[in-house]
Amino acid sequence: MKTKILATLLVGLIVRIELASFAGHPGDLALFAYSARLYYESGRFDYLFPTLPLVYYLQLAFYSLYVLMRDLGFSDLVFLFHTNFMVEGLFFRIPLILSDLGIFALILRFTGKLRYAALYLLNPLIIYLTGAWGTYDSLMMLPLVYGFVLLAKNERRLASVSFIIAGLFKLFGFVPFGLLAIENLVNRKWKEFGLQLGTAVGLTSLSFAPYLGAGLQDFYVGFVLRFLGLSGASTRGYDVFAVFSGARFAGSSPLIWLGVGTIAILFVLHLRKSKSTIQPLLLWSLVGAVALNAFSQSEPQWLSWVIPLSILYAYMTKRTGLAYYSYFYGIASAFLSITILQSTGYLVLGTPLVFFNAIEAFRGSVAVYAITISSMLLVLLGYVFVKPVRFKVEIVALVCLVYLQAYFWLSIMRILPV
Amino acid sequence: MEGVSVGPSIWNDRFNNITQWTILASGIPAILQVNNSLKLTVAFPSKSNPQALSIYRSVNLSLDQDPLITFGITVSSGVSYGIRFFGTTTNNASFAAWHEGSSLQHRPGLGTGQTTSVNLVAESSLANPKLSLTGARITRVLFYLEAPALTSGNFVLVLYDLHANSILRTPANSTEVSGNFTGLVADMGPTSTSQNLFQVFVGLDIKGSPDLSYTLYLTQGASVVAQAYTYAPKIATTYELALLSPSLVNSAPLFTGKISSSSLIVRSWAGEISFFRLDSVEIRFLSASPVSHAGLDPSNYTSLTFYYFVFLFVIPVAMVSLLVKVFKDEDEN
Repeated sequence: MKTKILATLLVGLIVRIELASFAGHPGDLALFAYSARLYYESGRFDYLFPTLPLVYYLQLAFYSLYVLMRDLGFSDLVFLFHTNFMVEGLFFRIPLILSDLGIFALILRFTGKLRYAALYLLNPLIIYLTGAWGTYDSLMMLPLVYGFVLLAKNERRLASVSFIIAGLFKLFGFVPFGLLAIENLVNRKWKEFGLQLGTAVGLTSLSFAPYLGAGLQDFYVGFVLRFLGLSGASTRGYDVFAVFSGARFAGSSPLIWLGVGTIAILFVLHLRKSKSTIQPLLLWSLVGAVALNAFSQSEPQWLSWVIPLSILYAYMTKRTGLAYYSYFYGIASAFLSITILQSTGYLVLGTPLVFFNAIEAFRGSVAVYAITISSMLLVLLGYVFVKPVRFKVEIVALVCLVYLQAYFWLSIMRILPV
Repeated sequence: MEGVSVGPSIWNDRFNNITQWTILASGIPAILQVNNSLKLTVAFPSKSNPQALSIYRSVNLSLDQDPLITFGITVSSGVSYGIRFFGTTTNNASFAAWHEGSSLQHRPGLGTGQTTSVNLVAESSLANPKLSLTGARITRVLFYLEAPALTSGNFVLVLYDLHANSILRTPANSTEVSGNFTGLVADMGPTSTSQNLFQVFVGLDIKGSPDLSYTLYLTQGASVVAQAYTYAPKIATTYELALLSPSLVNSAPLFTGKISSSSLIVRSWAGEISFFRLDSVEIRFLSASPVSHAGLDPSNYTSLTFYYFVFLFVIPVAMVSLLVKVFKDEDEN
């Protein structure tokens, strides 16, 4: 067993490091590189860092090792059209790769099954996001998964803290946190609720403390309003509703609030019938991730959130089919994101370059993407809610059929102006 | 800093005199009609090469007046069209005030009406960056209809509006301006850098009509070097922190700043701006990438992509298959 674990770990590690050494999202890594360089080259904290501050702090910590190397005379190279240096890009991935390994270890310990842990670590979507892209969703998923593991051990307070930390990396972590708070309210655990809320306010304030020095106006407009869906900027969305309606939302979609409300109500109803907390919490967090992908901007990296949650839920409810399906879902999502949203050459060369015209540069491609992703999310919900079934190859054929049908009607026949 | 709005009409075509328009001979059958609008019907024969037919008319628009030309047009789907301008300098030297790559060229016909405004100073300057435009005039406006290879049949171009307006500029001595404007121009002075522009953050306070939506541009001369998302005023605050990036450039401002300097331009897509204050501008540059890839042959990119797919899909899927199939029984013990 140990040999297999080591072999799996090694493969997971090698593919990530190999991809990270040359590939990368030129836009996102440029943002990270700019903010890190700004801090170490001028001593200026970047108050305009584009995402939540905990990500920045962690990046700065790991980037310091790179700065040390550069100070010792290490000369780095830029690969092709990328915006960052090669080893520099690798240092941005170290915390992400460590998070993936951490999630692997947590799933392995929780389930005792290497296959479940491998379905996460060797999932192409996770490898794509961590190794090739360099985005930080794994940072959020590590405390998220740890929160559920703690909850399974009835360590409710620590689980709550873990969810808060997840939320401070990416707001999705506040979904299980919020559901846990609702459970405390429903069960009239006022003290627990107070402690939970106090910890959240304390940790959030602490993580945002440096921003007070820059004045609150940019923080208010750049963070608070953006994440509450009250931003002034109209941004694109990849979800099926935005694609077909042409709607552009300022910040988050207002439909999110409808989704959040519905999930909260269904969670309470489920909680009343259930003896445990963890199962409803896991289930409705998973549904929350699906809802965010269905109703909000649905950035491609958000698709990864359902993977560890599906694996945990599959183990807890003996739904092996769901765990295997999450692996196929990862392959298909990575493939669609690469071919339709980015072009094959983008992460490899650092500039958009189409290699396979027929599957990359076709009319209505984003609509085809949105339909296929929505169908896959629906199938995932099927695996979650319908009685446990095995994963069958027919599901692969079904998803391929959806893709081909969408391609035929929207790209070739052009029945809709998308 | 100045507030900008569209001024009075300085010229328009009433489409009541067909002799003002000329079909450029091309051997392609075409009929030109004028009746409060201009209708060009072209019968493209089936050919293996792309075909085009142009019509033009003379105009006399001084660039010193900063003219904004607006045209309303409907073109059949299946063909493309474009508009081109030509002019003369004070020395009577001719120049073309259009360039390939502009959004005014090779536009697909949609079968529905489209209204477009063009800043003639910007177009002239983009096409002729070194030409002095002081005293220059636009003397000809040309529309063309083009069909791709193997496209045949009757196609129609209907021009129902063609007029020019002057631009009204209201200078302000501070970074704050009030009034009713469709745009704002802030002169940033001349800029020169060896580094690549990465992002621009602009902090601003803005008020306007309820339907106001606007975007921001950073320009160098007439070239747009960065563009922001489209913004709408918020209920919670009048303050906005706008992000401009070179990767967001997909349109052009209706107004220009000084050709010799960089400008920050606000353009309203709908509604009017009643108050604007520029609070902060932060321009970010990234080090120019060293050209380490100069020797790499493009054919290597394909190999690199396959290498990428092997590490992303093939190895992980093979390993999972191995774990699931080969070690299945052992794993379940």
